[in-house]
Amino acid sequence: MIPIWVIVLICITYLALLFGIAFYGDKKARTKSIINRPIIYALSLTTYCTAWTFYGSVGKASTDGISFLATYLGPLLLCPLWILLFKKIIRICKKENISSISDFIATRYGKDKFLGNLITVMIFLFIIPYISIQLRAISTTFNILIKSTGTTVVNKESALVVVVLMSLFIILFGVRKSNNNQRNEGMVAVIAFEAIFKVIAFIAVAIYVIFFVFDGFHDIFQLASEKHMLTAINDIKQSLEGGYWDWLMLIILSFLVFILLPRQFHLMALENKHEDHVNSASWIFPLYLFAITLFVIPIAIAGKIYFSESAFSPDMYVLHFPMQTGNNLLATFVFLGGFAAATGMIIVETIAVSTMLSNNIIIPLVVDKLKFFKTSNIPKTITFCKRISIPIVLFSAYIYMSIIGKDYPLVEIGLISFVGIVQLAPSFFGGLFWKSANKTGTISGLIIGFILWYFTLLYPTFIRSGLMSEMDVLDTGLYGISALKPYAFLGLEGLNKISHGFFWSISLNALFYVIGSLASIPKGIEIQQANKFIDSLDEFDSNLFRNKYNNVQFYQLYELSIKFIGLEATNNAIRKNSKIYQNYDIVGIEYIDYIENVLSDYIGNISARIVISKLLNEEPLSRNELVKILEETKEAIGHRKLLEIKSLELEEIQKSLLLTNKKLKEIDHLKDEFILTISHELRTPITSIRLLSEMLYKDAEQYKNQSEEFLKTIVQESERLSNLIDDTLLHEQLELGNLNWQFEGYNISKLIKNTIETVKPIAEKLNIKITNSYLNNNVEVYADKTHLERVFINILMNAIKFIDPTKNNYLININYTLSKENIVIIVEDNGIGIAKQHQKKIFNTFVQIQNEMLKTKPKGSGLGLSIVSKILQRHKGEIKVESVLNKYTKFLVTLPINIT
Amino acid sequence: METQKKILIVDDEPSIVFALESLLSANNYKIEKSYNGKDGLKMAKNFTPDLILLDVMMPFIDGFEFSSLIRKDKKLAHSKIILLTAKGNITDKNAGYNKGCDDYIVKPFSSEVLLSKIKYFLG
Repeated sequence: MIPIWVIVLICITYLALLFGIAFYGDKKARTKSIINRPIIYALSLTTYCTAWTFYGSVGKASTDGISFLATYLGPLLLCPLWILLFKKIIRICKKENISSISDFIATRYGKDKFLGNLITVMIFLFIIPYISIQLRAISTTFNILIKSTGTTVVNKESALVVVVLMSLFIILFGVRKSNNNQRNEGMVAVIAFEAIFKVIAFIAVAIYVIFFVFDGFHDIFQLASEKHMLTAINDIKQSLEGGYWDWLMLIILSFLVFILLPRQFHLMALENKHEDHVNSASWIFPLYLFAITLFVIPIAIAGKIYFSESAFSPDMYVLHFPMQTGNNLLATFVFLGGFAAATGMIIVETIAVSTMLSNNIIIPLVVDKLKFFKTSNIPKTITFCKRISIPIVLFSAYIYMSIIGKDYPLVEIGLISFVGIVQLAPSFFGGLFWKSANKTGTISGLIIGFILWYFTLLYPTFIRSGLMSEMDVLDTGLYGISALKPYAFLGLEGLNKISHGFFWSISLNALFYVIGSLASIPKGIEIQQANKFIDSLDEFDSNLFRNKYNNVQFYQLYELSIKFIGLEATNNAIRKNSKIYQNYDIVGIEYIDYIENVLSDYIGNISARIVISKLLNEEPLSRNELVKILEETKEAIGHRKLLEIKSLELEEIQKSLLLTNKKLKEIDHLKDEFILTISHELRTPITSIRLLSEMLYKDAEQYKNQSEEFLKTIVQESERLSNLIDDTLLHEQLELGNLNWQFEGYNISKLIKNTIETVKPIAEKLNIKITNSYLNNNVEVYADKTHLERVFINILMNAIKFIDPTKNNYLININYTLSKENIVIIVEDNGIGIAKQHQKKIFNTFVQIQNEMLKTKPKGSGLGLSIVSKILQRHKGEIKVESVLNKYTKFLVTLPINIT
Repeated sequence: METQKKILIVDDEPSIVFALESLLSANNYKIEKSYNGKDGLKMAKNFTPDLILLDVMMPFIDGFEFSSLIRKDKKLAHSKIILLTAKGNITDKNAGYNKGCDDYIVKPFSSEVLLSKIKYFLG
C-alpha cells in the first residue's frame, strides 16, 4: 500500500514530464524537428499497445492461453504489406489534406457531408467504450496501488482527474491551430516517450516476476506442468472457442484495426513526417511487439500459480506481483507503465475522434449558425469548437465507464470496439483499390454493418450489464425468432461472440457495399476522387513538380475538354496529336500542355489555366468555380459563335473580294490586252498605208506600174481601220449599255438573205459557197435590224476567215429549226474547226484562237463574236458553238419568234 | 556589178509584206517573204539572208523566239535582224536585243528610216 499523496505526486510529476516533452517537441518543431526519425514513427505506432496490452494480454493469456497473440499477429504478419499500403494512404492524406479517417472515407466517396457525419457518429460510438476501458485501467490500477487489495474496484475520482488533465493536455498540445496539415510534434514526442516507457516497465516487471519472484523460466514451467496448466495455455486450437476460425477472424480483425483505428490512422498517416519512415517502422514495430508479448505467457502462468485461487483479477497480475511482494517502487513504475500505455492511447484517440467530431459535425453546425450568433471572430470560434470537442469525447468515455463499462473485461470491450471500427474496412480498402466503389455502396454497407455490430455485439452487452432487461433475447432471439439470436445470428454457432459478430457484420457490410456500388451510378466527383485515391501511388514518382501532373488520366483531360469545347473539337485535337492514350493512362506533361492550349483556344488562356490547374492540383472544382467558369465559357462560346459567324461572313466576303479582284485583274489585263491589241491592230494598217502612200508620193515614177495595186491596198487597209474603230466603239457601247436600240418585227428569212448578199462578194472571191435552206417567209423576230444583221455578218465573216485551206471546196450552209417559241439559225462551215478547250473562250473579247492551219494570223479585231453574243443577249436569244477540229464549226443562234 | 543583198521579210500581215517587198525590190534588194515564223525559219536556212525584217507579234513562233532560233544557226550568224514592232515599250526592245536582234523599228515607220537602217547594216 502506497500513500495516496505519493501516487498523486508521482502521477502529477509524470504528467508534468509529458507536458515538458510536448512543449519541447513543439518548440523544436519550429527549428529542428525531434520527431523526424523513423524510430519515432515506429514507436508512435505502438500506441496500438494500450493498457489493454499492458494489463489485458496477461489476463487473456491466463484464461485463454496463447490466443491473446491473435490480436498482434494481424499487424505482425502483414508488416510486409505496410510499405505499399501505408505509403499510398500517406500520399492521399497529404495530397487531399485529410484530417481524420472519417474525412478520408468521406473524401474518397465524393466529399460527402452525410457520409462524413455517419462515419463520425459511428466511430464515436465505437471508440468511446474503448477510451473508457483505458480510463478504467487507470482508475483500477490507481485503486490497487492505494488500497493494495485484490479486487478491481473502479476509482471514479481518479479517472475524473485523469479526464480533466488529459483534456487540458490535449487542448494544449493536440489541437491543430488552423491548418490541418500542421503536425502535433510535441504530442508525437510524448507518444514515443510513452512507448518506450511502457515497454521498459513491462519488461521490468516481467524480469522481476520471472527471476525474482520465481527462479527463472524453468521454475515457472516446471510448476505449471505439475499443475497441468500448460496444455490449456499452449493448445492453439482450444485456446479459442471457435478454434482456427476464431484465430483467422482475430488475425484479420487485428490487421484491419491496426490501420483503421482513428489513432492508428492518425499516427500512421497524418503525423508521418516522411514516407520512408514506413520502411523502418515495418521492422521496428514487430520487434517492439515481440518485446512486449514475449513475457506474457510466463507472467500469466506465474500469476496463475502465484495467485491461484485468490480473487486477484488476472488482468492485474502485472501490478499485483510487485504489490503483493511488497515492491512498491516497482509497483509504481508498473503503474506508470500502464498509465503511459493508457494515456498514450487516450491522447491520440481523443485527438483523432475530437477532430472528426469538430470538423464533421460541430464546426459545420456552428458555421451554419454563425450569422445567428453574429460572431465576428470566426477563427476563434473554430478553435473553440475544436477544443470543446476534446472534453466531449473524454467525458463521454468517462460516463460510459461509470455506467456500463465497469463490469466488462478489458479485452471484450476492446474487441467490440475493434469490430465496430472494422466496419470501415470495406469502404476504406475498397476505396483504395476499387474504382467502381461509390457512395451509395459505402453508406449501405456501413449502415448494415453497424446494425449487425450493434445487434450481435453491443446489444448483448447492454442486456448483460442489466441496462436492458430482455435477457431471453440472448437465448430465444429477437421477438422469439431463433434466427435472430445475437450470439447465433441465422443459426451460426460455434464461433466466439467476437468472431461471430465480426463475421456477420463485416460480410454483410462488404456484400452491401459491393451490391450498392454496382447497382448505383456514381457522381462525377466520386469518380474523380476514386481515381485520385486509387492511382495515388503512380504520382510522387520522381520530383515534386512532376508529381503534380502524373496522376492526370487521359479520360479526365478528355472529359474536361469535351465539357468545355465539345466532342468534335476534342476529337479533332486528340487526333492531331501523335500521342495516343487509353482512358486510364496517365498523360504526360506535354500532353496536358497541349490540351490546355487547345482549351485556351476556346475559353481563353485564363480559364484554361484555371481548369487545367484544378485538374492538376487535384482540387475538385467548387460549385461556384465551376459555375463561374461555365458561365465564362458560355459567354466565350457565345462570342466565339458570333465570331465564327462573322468570320464565316468575312471569309465569304474575302472570297468574293478575291474573286472580284481576280475578275478585275482579268478585266484589267483584258483592258491592257485590248489597248495593246487595238494599238497593234491600228498600227498594222497604218504601217502599210504609210509605206505605200510614201512610196507613191516620193517616187511615183518608180512605182508607176504598181500604183493601182498600191492604192487598192491603201483603200482596203483604210476600210480595215474604220471597221476596227467601228467594232471597238460598238463593243464599248454594248458594254456600257448606252446603245440606241430600235426594235421592230422583222422577217428573219429576209434578214438572213440580206446578210448573205452582203458577204457574198468576199466569199465568192475566196471560192466559198454559201447555201441557204428554205424558211417560211412569215417567221418574224422582234429585233433591231442593223444589229441583228451585224450578228449574222460577223458569224459568216468568221466562217469565211477560218476556211480550211487543205480542203478542196469551202462550204457555208445555213439551216433552221423551228419550235413553237424559238427559231434556231444554224450556220455551219467545213473550216478548220475549234478545239474543244477553246470553244467557250471564243465569245470573250479579243480572243483569237491560233490555228496551225492558218498561214497568217486571223484578220479582225477579236471583237466579232463578243459583239454577237452581246447583241443576241439583248434580243433574248443566245449563241452556241459546236465544232470538231479540222472538220466543221456550227454556230447555233436561238431567237424567240415574234408571234403576231 | 555589186551582188544583190538578200532580205527576208517575215510578217503575218500581207499588206505590210506587200508594201515592204515593193519598197525593197525597188531599192535593189533580193527579197524573200514569209507570213509566219515557221515558214520563215525554213526559208532563212535556204535563203541565208543578209538581213531579216521580223514582225514580233506572230502566231506559233513570235519574233523573239524566231531570232533566238536564227542565232543558234551558225550559217546565219552574219544575218542582221531588224524587229518590226507594234509595241514601242522598253521591255520589248530589251527582249529583242537579248534574243540577238540588231535593231528595231516601231510600226508605223517611214520608208526613209527603214531604208537608212538597212543601208547601215548592209553597207
